[in-house]
Amino acid sequence: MATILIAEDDADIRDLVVFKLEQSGHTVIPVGDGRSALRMAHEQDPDIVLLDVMMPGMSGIDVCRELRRDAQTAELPIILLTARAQESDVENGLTAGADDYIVKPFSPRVLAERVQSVLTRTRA
Amino acid sequence: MSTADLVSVTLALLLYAVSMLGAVIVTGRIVRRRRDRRDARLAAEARPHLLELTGGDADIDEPLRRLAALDRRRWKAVQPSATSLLGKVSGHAHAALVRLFEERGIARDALRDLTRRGAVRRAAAAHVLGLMHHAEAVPALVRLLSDRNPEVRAVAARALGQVGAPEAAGPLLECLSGGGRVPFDLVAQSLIRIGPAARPALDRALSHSDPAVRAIAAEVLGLIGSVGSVAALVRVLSVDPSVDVRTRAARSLGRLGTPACLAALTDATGLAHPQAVRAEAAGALGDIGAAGAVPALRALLPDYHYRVAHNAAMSLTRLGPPAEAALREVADGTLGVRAAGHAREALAVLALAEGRLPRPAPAT
Repeated sequence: MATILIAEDDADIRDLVVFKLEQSGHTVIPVGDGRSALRMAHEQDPDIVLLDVMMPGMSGIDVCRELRRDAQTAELPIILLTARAQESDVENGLTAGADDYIVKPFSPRVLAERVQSVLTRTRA
Repeated sequence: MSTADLVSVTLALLLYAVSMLGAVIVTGRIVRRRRDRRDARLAAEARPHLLELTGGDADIDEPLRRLAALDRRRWKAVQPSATSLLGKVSGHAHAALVRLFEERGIARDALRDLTRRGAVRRAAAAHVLGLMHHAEAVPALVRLLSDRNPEVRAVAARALGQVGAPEAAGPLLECLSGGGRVPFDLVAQSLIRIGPAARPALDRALSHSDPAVRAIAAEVLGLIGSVGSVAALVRVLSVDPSVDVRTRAARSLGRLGTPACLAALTDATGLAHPQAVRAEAAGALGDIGAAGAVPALRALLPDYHYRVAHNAAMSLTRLGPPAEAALREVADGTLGVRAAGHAREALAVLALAEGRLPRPAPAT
């Protein structure tokens, strides 16, 4: 089981993701913005990070780029959550170093499986 | 009454009015704050059932039964979260929420609200029915595309895209006819959501009398990857009377990228075509990514029109080693000074992308 950091400004989605991942046995650290995500990534040393692309202040892509620049977090697996209309951001996200992305609307079951898949792949 | 008395009475009345207004505002705020706290508490009570319904692995019957049985006040408190999630989840979570909304009679109420006098009620109803992907609502939503209120028309157009009903494609396209009752981008997004099932209507729309309808059809056919429409788009690219429509056809052919697209776009870079179409075609040849486009793009580098030559150069940055070799040759001046400038710019873009741009010499 893993420690998962989720940065999502939409409380409904954040709560749902936390519920789903905790149900799968993971420990989840929820935050509502990019700066908090950066801080918690350093303080809590998570196994994987889920970042919403569109967040106020600092976008998920900016956070991803910052995490990759820092030696302490450079190897962290990162999954981006992006709205359907922002699919063009996916290319930017992957260029910034994200390992995978999930398009909203998403199935909570598929999200849990994708998280598990990235964890398995990066731990191998 | 003396003037002094009159001033005193006026001031007293003003003071009284200000005090009353202040009291009303403060009371209103207190009431609202209490109501918000009460709603938050009620929503928090029901929230675990909502999360269990949408994110749970077990049987959804129990959370569904509890949420369906909530009294009106509790449901009103949790409904904003349920509606918000409805638009953000898919699969079993969406199906579970739709079942809940059906059981609470929300679809039935929304269908009735589509014909209410108030525009907010009509728009809210269309919004919920769209989020529910409610197929039975399509005829009523299509009628709302002609609603007197522009916001209602926009919500109805979005809802039809969310439902994804192919029969809505024709009416959505017609919305743009005669000045546009719904914004172009909104109609395009809904048509994209309907996807390949919208193709018959889009193909027909390429022959519409209104250029706005032809333009959106040309654009969306490329975005939904309608390879079967290439022949029709090639025809539009060469003969449509509207430059905007031809430009969009060029862009779509670049996205579709079949051999027929390559030939048509290469032809569209010719001098017989308007400058905007030539420039778009030069850019679209880069989207196709075929090395076969290199000779045609190389020949455009000395073009007198800046955008044509610039787009050709940028397309060459995307076509691999043969294109880079062509740029290096042109940068040496074989096609003149203007072409060399575009080629050097493209080579610098390539070098930047690959992180091999030489560092400037330090100032001495």
